Formats: sequence, C-alpha cells, structure tokens
Amino acid sequence: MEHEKETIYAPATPGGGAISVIRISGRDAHRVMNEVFFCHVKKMAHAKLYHGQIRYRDKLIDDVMAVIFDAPRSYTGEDMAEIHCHGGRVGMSGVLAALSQCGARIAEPGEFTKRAYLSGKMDLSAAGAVMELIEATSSAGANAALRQLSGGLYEKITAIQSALTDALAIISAGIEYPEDDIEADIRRDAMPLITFAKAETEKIADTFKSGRMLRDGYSVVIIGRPNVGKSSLFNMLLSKERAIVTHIPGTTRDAVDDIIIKHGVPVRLVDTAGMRRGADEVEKIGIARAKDAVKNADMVLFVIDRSAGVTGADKEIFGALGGSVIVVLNKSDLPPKVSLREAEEIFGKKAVEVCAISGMGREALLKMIDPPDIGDSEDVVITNERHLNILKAADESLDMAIGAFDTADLDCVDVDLKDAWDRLGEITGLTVTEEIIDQIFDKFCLGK
Amino acid sequence: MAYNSGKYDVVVVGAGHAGCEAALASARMGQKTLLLTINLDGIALMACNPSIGGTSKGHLVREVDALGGQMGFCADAAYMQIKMLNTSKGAAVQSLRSQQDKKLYQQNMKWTLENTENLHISTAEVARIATKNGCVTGIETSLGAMYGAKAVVLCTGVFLHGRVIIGEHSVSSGPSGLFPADKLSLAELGLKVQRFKTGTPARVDRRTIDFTKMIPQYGDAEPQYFSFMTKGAPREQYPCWLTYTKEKTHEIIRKNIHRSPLFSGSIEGRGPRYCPSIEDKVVKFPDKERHQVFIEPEGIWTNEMYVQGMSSSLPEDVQKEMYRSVPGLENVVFMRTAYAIEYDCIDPLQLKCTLELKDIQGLFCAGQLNGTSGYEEAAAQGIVAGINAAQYIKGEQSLVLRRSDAYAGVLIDDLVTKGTAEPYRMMTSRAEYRLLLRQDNADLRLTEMGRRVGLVSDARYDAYMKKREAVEHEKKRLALCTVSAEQVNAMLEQKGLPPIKEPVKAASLLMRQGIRYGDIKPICGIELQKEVAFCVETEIRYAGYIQKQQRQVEKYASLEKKRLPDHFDYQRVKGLRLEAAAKLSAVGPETLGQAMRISGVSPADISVLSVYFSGRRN
Repeated sequence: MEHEKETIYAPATPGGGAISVIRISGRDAHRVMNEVFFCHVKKMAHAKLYHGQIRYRDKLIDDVMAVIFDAPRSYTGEDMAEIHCHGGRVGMSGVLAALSQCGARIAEPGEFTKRAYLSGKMDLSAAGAVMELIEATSSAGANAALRQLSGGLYEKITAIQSALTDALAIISAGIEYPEDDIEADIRRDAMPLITFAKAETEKIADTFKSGRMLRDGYSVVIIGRPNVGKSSLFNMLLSKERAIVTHIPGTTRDAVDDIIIKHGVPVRLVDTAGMRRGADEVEKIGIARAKDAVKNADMVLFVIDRSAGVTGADKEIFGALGGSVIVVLNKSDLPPKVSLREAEEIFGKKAVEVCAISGMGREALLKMIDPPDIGDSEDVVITNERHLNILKAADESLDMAIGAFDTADLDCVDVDLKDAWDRLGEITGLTVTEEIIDQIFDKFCLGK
Repeated sequence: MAYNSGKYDVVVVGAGHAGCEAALASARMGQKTLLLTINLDGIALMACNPSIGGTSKGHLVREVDALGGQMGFCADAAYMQIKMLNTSKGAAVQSLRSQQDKKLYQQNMKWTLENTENLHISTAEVARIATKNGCVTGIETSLGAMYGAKAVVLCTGVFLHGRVIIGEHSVSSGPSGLFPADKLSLAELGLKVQRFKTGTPARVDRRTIDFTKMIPQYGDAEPQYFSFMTKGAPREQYPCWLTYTKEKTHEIIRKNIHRSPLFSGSIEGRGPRYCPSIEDKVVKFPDKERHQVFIEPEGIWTNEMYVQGMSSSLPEDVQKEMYRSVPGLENVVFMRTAYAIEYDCIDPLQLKCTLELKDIQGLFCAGQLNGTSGYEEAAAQGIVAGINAAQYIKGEQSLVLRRSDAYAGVLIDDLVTKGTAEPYRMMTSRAEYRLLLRQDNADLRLTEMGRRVGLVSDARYDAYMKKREAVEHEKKRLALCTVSAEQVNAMLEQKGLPPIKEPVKAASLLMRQGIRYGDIKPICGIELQKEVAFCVETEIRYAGYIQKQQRQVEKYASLEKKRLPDHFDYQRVKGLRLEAAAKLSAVGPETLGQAMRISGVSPADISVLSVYFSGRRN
C-alpha cells in the first residue's frame, strides 16, 4: 500500500534457536539487503537462497544465508528479504542493528500480516480472522489485552500521560492566554511533572532488562583472544552443576549457551570461542563479535592467559568492552607474568585467579557472578520490545523537552511533550488534544 | 408578492466578517456577486470586543491576508493599538493582537466592498433558499425579491433566530439591537440545526471612569502589521486599562445568581468555555480572589469603553451594581448593557472541507453559522467559502486547506470531522503542526494557493517571491559562512554566553539560545528586511523540529489524498466494527486521512477501509 512507505524488519523466529530468520519488507527491502549482504552474485534472483556475509561499514557481522522476493510475489506483497543468521540474541542483534542503520525500522507486532492484508494478498473472506489479529495489535484493541496481560502497565502509562497532560495544560494556558493572570509559574509548575514522567518512563523501560532476564536469562559472556582457555572456563563453570544445567535445545551449531541457576535467575553463559570462524579473519571476527556480544551482555568474563601476561591483543579486546566486567586470570597453575593486583590496575576491574583445567578459583568466580534478585517483585515488568522502543522514544522526547526549557522556546517544549504523549498513546491508544483543552479550562479561569 | 429581481453567480447572505471575505473573494475571482445584509450599518460589525487578532487568531488573519483576503488590510488601517503576543514563548506561538477603532474598521471594509468590481451590496432579509434537485438555485427576500444564483454562501452569524437575554428580560433580536433573521428556516432545508449562545459585556462612558486606579497597557513601540502588504509609519496608539474585580463584586454575583438566565435554565444554548461570563467564572472558581478586567476603547471618536472580562446575562440592575464594585468603575455610567445572545447554527458535520453542504450542491456556509466564534475564525471560513463558491461555478478545482497548510485548515478539518458541541475557538493547541504554521510564514505557505485561484495580485505575488528568495538565499549563505572565535567571542561574552574555540558556521550561532539575527548581523549578516530576518532565524533555530513535523506530514500524506465516496453506507464494509461504521456514516469523511481522525475509528478500521476501497477500484 502506498501509505506503508517505511521498510520494516523483525525476527520471524523466536529467540534462542540456532538459526534465526529475520524478515524485511517494504519499498527499500532490496536496497537494504544490497547494503548489508555480500555474496558471490551481484544481483540476487527472486526466491533463491544465497550464502554470504552480513557486513556493515566493512565490518563482518555474521555468516548467513539470505533470500529475496520480488513484489508482489511475497508474503506481504511488497519487496521482501529474509536473512537466516546465527541464533540467539548475540548473533541476531548485530544484524538487526545493521538493518536499522540502513533506514529500516523494527516492525510492530502483526505488521507483516497487516501489510499482506492491505496488499490484498489475503482474501477478504479471511477478513474476520485477520481483523482479529490486526485488532489485537492496534492501539484500541491492545488496551483490553494489555490491561489483562500486563496488569498495571496500562495504569502506569496513563499515570505518566496524565502528568504530561497537566504539564501541557500549564504551558498551553500560558501560550493561549498570555495576558491572563494565571497563577502559575510555567517552569516551576511544569518541570516537576515532566521529571516525574521521565523518571517513571525510564523506570518502566528499565524493567525490560529484568523482564528479559526472566525470559532469556542473565547473560554472562566469556571473551578473550584465542587460546586463553575460554572454552575450558566455560566447561569448568558448568562442570559440577550438570545436575541443574539445562541444555538449550537446538544450539548444536553454536554449542555456546548453557544455563546455571543463581537465586532464581537463570544465568546464561555464552562462550564466544565456539562461534564459526572465517578462515583468515579470526581476530577481526573475535573483536567484532566481542563488541556485539558485550552490547547485550549483563556481565562479561574477560579471560587472559596469565602465563603470557597482558598482550596487545588483550588490550584491544578489552577496549571494546564496557559495563560489568570481571578479569579472569586463567592458567594460574603456570608461572604468572602478571599479578592479581597488576591486572586489576591495568584494567581497572575486579580480577580473579583461576585454573580452568583443575577447577581452581571456581567458587570465587561463581560468587562474583551475581545477577540481581528479581524474584517476587510486584512491579510491572515489560517484556515486549515494541513497548521498550516506545518508552525509549518517549523518554527521548522528554529529554528534549527538558532541554528545550533551557535552549529553545516554550513552543518547542510543548511540541516535545506532545510527542512523548503521543508515543505513550501508542501503548494506551489515547489521543491528547481534547484532553489538554479540557484541562486548560478545568484548571484555569481564563477567557474574556 | 414575490417578484424576479435578477440573477447573480453568487449570493452571499450576511455581511459580517465571513460574508465580507466571501463576497470579496467571489467578486474578485470574476463572479457576479450580490452581498445581502439586514442592515448596511452592520457591515463588518464587531459586535463584541474591539479587537482583532490574538493567540492563533492573529495567525488566521495573516492566512486570510496571504490568500488575498481583506481583514488584515482593514485592521492595519484601523488599529488603535498593536502588540505582538508571546514574544518570549517562541516564534511559533507569537501572534499579533490589535485594538480596533470599530467604526473605522467598518467604514474601511464597507468602502472596499462598495468599490469592488462585480459586487453589489443590498439591504434585505433572506426568507428562503431556493433549491432544485438538491442544487441551490437562488434566494427570496422577506420583501419578495427573488434572486437567481448558481451558488449561495450563508453567513448568518448570530442573526438567525437570534434572541437577546438580559436577566429575566428576553427579546427576539440580532446583535447590537439589529433586527434578527426570523424567517429563514434551515430545518426546512433538511439541515440539522443546533442552538448556541454567546455574550458581551457592557459599554461604559469613558468620562465616568477613574483611570488613576488602573494600570495602563500599551502597544508595541514598533508595531508589526497583519497584512504582508501594509507599509507605512506607525500611528498614534491608545492604551487599554487593567483593573480587578473585588470580593464584593463576587458577593453581588453570588447574591443574585438565581436571577441569571444561565443558572435558572432559561438559556438553552451552549456557551463557549473560553469566553465565560463573569458569573460563570465566579461560580466555577470560587477560590479565585480577583478576576482581571480590561477597559478597552471602542474607537477614537467615541467615549464608549468595552469592559473586557465582565460579560454577563444578569439583570441590568445587578450588572450596574457589580460593575460599580470594581476599582475605577465606582461611578460608571452604562451606555450599552451586557447581554447574552442565542442563535441557530448548523451541525458542521454536514459540511465538506470546501464548506459546501454535502447534501445541497452550491450552498456554502461560513462563520458562526458553522458553530465557531470569533471574527478571525469567521473571516477564514468566509474566504474559503467564497473561493470555493467561485471555483464551483467555474468548474475548477476547489481549495482545500489541510491541517499542515494553515490554522484555517485545522479549523475547518476540526469542524467537519469532529463537529462541535460549543462555539469553536481557534487555539494554538489544536494545531499539531504548529512549528510549520507560524504567523511569520503565512505568506510562504499560502500565497501560491491564493495565486492559483486568482486572488493574489501581481504586486503581492512579487513581494512573496522576493521574500521567499531572500529567506532561502540567506539560510544557504549562513549555512556556508564560517566565523572565527575572534569575530564572535566579544558578542557572546556580552550576551553572557560561553565563547567558541574553533571556527563555526554562522547558522550554528543562530541556534544558540538568545542569539538573534541582529546579533550576528555586524559579524556576518547582511541588510535584511525585518520579517525576512525573523523568518531566517526561526527556520534555522527550529530546523530540527520543522524537519520532524514535515516527516510526520509526509507520513500521512497518502492517506490524506485517498478519497472516500460521498453518502457511503459503511455498514456494508465487512470487518469494520459497528461503532466505527456508525461514526463513519455519521461524519461521511472525504478522505482516509479525515476518517483516521474521527474518534472511535481505530487504525485497524482504517486498514479495512483501505483494502475495501482499493479492492473496489480494481
């Protein structure tokens, strides 16, 4: 349809498997593919599977299979593409990031089906069934579902919206009636409402992490240059826990994810060593992978070979890390070239001495892997990535609004706040204009 | 006895602010036009406040002007005070507001009408609209004159079955003691009619006011004008005066509230929330210790003063008592009594966005008849209705202003999509694309449209082209022009802003808070007209926001273009929810974009419609 101009993408398979399929649809689907996918042919043919690489800005991201479909011979009736990449969040996130860098956006739930429907790919006789589906994803229909499924989320978001409505009413009253003696100092009265809204928005957005943790586990990524003993460490950590280890099915190709349980939270270990390697690009891939893995990791175990000391390659990998990092000094049974304290000083992170082969230091390391306790929190937890994106966008608009108080003018603050309101409205299905006008006249005595 | 009185292309009924613009537009577009009014002395009458413009209303006046309308011109010629409001709140919400010499304004407008080619003005009360096969064919006056017309524009204001109420007293009347229009029945035409109410305060004798107890309010030292074509030196300006009600005023109101027709229920019409009577304010906000009262001159050659903030429908004796409780008004003598007025208007859902009635071809409506309030709102609809009446006769493409084109577009779209349950006032908050719809760029937005229909003169068009070029050229120049730290740091320091270290583009200086074009002019600017400089600095400062809003406009553009059929029974569309089908049938949207804005219609419903109609076309 002509009004569906944006090109969208989304994982078509649930996370956690060995292979994930990402679908892309829209006018620019083929252009986006050409920008990220490199294989032996210049021009891909309709419905043929190709082997190649996903690259972004000359950086190798993944080794994948891909296929394109020409409009209207596709599921949605638009130009489409599919990428079959390595599964799990680590593998997929790099590809998704590359797609979004190329101008595509993440699809809303049901959007592919909706487009298929709009393109007339689905018979009108199927309208009833399809409508229900679309209805569930449309804002109005989502409301009911939302209230049932996510408990207090709807209430939480409407509370934020109502704070924003109040702030907007204060600002709008000042703008619409510049000469009335409104007993309000716009900044003084509106700012606390905005900062409240922002704090709440961020609080809910943050729960995505724990929501994700409950669903996907607290991810601990093992990183390090080749031959420092990452796989041994991986095995060491799991060895005596076999009884409570659940092997995630379907990971044979990667064989990297495994889970141990720490106070109710599944801890997922990811060994980057097990990844497929391009023959000559080991280091490059290692670093690229490290970056992507780390982006989604809750904690990183950075492994070095203590008997070799701290090498340039170690430092290079460490440079790509961020957040919660533990330096693991492996091969502590051999004569050390670096002491615990020296390592901690060099990297500015806590370090621990282990010997992966003998199991020495295992208990100490396990103690340091400490996922937050999210056992029986009553709070709303979001697990839907779309909700997260909406909250992030709203948060960004609120940030701009606060900034605009200082750097721009009141009309900009107003536009940003409305923007935030409308974003949240994508969750609650409410619209703002009339509410503000009602508020203005309920709150202030205005008019001549 | 009815008699044949001639034929016109367009007959405009009513010569208020909507009627004047409609008649001028139609005549200037070459249509033989007749403007009928109940009283020639009521042409362009400002029946309420002596003021044109104000927040968002000032935008409307500039838009009317850019399209080739008259209101801005006449207001510039008759101002007693002029002021740019909201200068500290951002370029998008700045609005021009003027105090007017009412008589002078009327005289200017009447003289313009009288000297417009193709336009005749006549006194008459219209008693009947003649139609044939769903098309308008002419009108008949109360004295039996029958005029043939290809199109009729109805601008009846508050005259239609008008009833003035003062306390227990009520009389059939138009505004300011003019005759009402009691013979015309819109219900007879099959239209859905509603009853609205508005009010006006008393006028008092200037000589009986003690101004020493009031605070004077002055206009801008360097006035800006409404019309993009007005030039010339500023004239003398006159102050308004501010005073406040006292607790005693509120006591008098409370003591007598049972005598108010609004509270006793003898007024049935819906009044506007943004124009409350003083008794409304006191009842609704009992904790507010005082309310503002502005005393505004009604003209240069009159002692009548308008008492803004004290509109009322309480009995005259109560009015006098409460007015005299206000500091400065202790001995005030009434020249006109405050009153409320009820009138017939239509449910605007019956209109297309061209302001033509959906069910009667060639019959257009504008102004308060459509449920709005305000001179500026009326003028904006008037010019659109006048243009479209002419285009209809010529068989040419009608003028539809979208929400992203103009406040006038927002106004009309709101009316025809949402209807209105109270007199509708334009507000900045209603315009979602506010940063695109500024008063400084009304000409850049709309002159081309006015030109297309033939309302924009060569002189105006040239001025617009020059401004557009100057703005674009300067924006480009500033984006390329580099300035060094030595050049600008003195100025930044003087402004209390942090200095720069590396050279920067001149445009980026303008993005800093508190830096105006005038500040960079000695460093890297050129000699520019004031309005060009303002437009340049605004577009640079707001660039990020403007782009964002433009992207939103583009996102919905194709939906706005997708036409829906007239008189369509939405119950026939399978998959549409019942509520949505009922709403859609009631409103009868013209485009998918309009359908999307109807409350109760979900995005899913829009998807269904989209498929349904694209399938049908194939």
